[in-house]
Amino acid sequence: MIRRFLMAATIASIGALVAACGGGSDASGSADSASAASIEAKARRRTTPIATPTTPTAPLAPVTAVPTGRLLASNCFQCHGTNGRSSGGFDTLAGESISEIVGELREMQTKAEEDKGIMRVHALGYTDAQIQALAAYFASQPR
Amino acid sequence: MIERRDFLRALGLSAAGLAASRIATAGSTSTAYVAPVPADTGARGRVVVVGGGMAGATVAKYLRLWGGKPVEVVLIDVASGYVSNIMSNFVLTGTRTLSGLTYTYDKLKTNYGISVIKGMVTEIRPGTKTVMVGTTPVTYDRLVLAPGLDFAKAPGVPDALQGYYPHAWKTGAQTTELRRQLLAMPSTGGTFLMAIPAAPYRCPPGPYERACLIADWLQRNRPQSKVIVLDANPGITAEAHTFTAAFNGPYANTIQYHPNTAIREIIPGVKGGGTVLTDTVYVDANGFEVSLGAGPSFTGNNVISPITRQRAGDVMAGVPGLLNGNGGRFAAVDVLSYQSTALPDIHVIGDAAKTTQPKAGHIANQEAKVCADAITRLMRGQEVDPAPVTNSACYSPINATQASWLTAMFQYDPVSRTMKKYVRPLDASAPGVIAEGEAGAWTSDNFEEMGKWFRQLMADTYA
Repeated sequence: MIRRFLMAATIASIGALVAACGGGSDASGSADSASAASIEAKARRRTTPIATPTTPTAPLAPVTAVPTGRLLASNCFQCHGTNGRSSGGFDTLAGESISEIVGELREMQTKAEEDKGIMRVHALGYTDAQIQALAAYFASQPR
Repeated sequence: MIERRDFLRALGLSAAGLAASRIATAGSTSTAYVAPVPADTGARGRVVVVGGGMAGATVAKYLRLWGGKPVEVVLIDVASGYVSNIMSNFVLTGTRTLSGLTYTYDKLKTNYGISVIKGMVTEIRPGTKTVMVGTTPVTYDRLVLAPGLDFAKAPGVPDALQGYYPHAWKTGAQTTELRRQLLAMPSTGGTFLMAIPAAPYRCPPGPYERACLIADWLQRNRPQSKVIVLDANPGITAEAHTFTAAFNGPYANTIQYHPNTAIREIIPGVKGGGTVLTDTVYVDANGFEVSLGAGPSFTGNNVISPITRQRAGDVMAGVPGLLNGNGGRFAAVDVLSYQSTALPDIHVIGDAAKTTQPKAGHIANQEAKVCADAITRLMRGQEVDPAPVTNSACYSPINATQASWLTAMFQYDPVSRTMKKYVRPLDASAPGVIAEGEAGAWTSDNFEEMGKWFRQLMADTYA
């Protein structure tokens, strides 16, 4: 009984958020059907075609390019923080220069195996071009 | 557009109140950096994410960060938060708590504008691009499934007694029960028996890590106790060097390791424990255990914890063709986008997916990023990244104060269309080196790094 109320309340609030983002109907509360309907109405208002994996179609708004090296750099966020901004763990990488990052990774590649650090393995796991790309991403991030 | 904060105030709700819950918000991510959601990158659409674990939470966050505000993200989970499996062995040994490992979805809501529905997805309807949350339909343009795993039952145990044979491989009530049983072991020494299923299973080094931590705790708290490890695999599946040294070194008088051995039947004791009958097994190409005949029997066990065979979350079984990997247990995917090889517009990430990568939280976070990048590119009419890189990394505590680690780098191989462990070509420095490794020793420095890695990983995922 209580669980259903909570879910209805949650769904009602979601319906409210969704409807209001689109310019909005009244979010008053009852029922799964009112909020589900508002979620569905918003979906129908959308007119931009959604791309399929093999035939991407041109969207109706200006498109921004994906920053160079971002997906590669995101491998590092788990230890060095989202976008390279550390919260008290390993070093912050955001805002370091390309030459600093490339230099550090090159140095880690040459560590003796008996040093056996995790970073040695990670530094050895990228091509030179990939290292340049991920370094460019971190260099472009604000400190 | 009205500010989110004003919305919530108008509704008389705080962000935290949106999903009423009694899970304590104790997972520590309070000082984490909050990246901004761009106003518009040209991507539009609604993505529904099923499951708020490591993969689901990460994909939700990064769809917003890399897609922008017009990319609507709806995250659906049955609970108000995620309890981390990483570090959960410390709940068994008493140095961490469940509430300390709990990460709610509050920050995903307030920091990135992700809509969160607390509910169980009961049905997926690809024909109408809808998921059912009970009787409520939620439509999607793209669907990302990250439901995690369901587990086979403890063999031979009646349903009414299943709760006394916890795998505790999905952190929560079973973890509490397993700790209760550990504490109830006799002071004169008892037997803790655990079983490891055939690979692929969640967290390859995890079971061996658990064996070490349990053995360490028992040596200090219930001396004379034994840990029996039954492993369906032919040998230690991860960090073989480290765990062999641990099993043969500090734990030589405590741990008994039996490879190629699987539980055939448990004859229950009182409130857990009992007798275990086994099969000698080999593992077939799909990861199923095939019996070669009866193996040894083990009597007088105080605790029996079988980590049983795993499969993708059962909601996926309702979609014909979706579970097309490992003999119908997991979903095969295109690892450039994590789209199902069987159904369009449905992506599968995390433990439910079949890939060459291990099933683990750290790499699930990375799969989610590759997926989010691919979906937002497709929404903008761009090609997906043709050369993603992922890495697996894991620190393994070997005792209460020291840890080892393992890591591997995966690059996309366009011939096999899989993620392959990277081997450096001849013209690079250190040519021919495979980019993977394990720690040479377990140390307190590694243990300290483990804490940093865990805090930062959970912040990147939930904060």
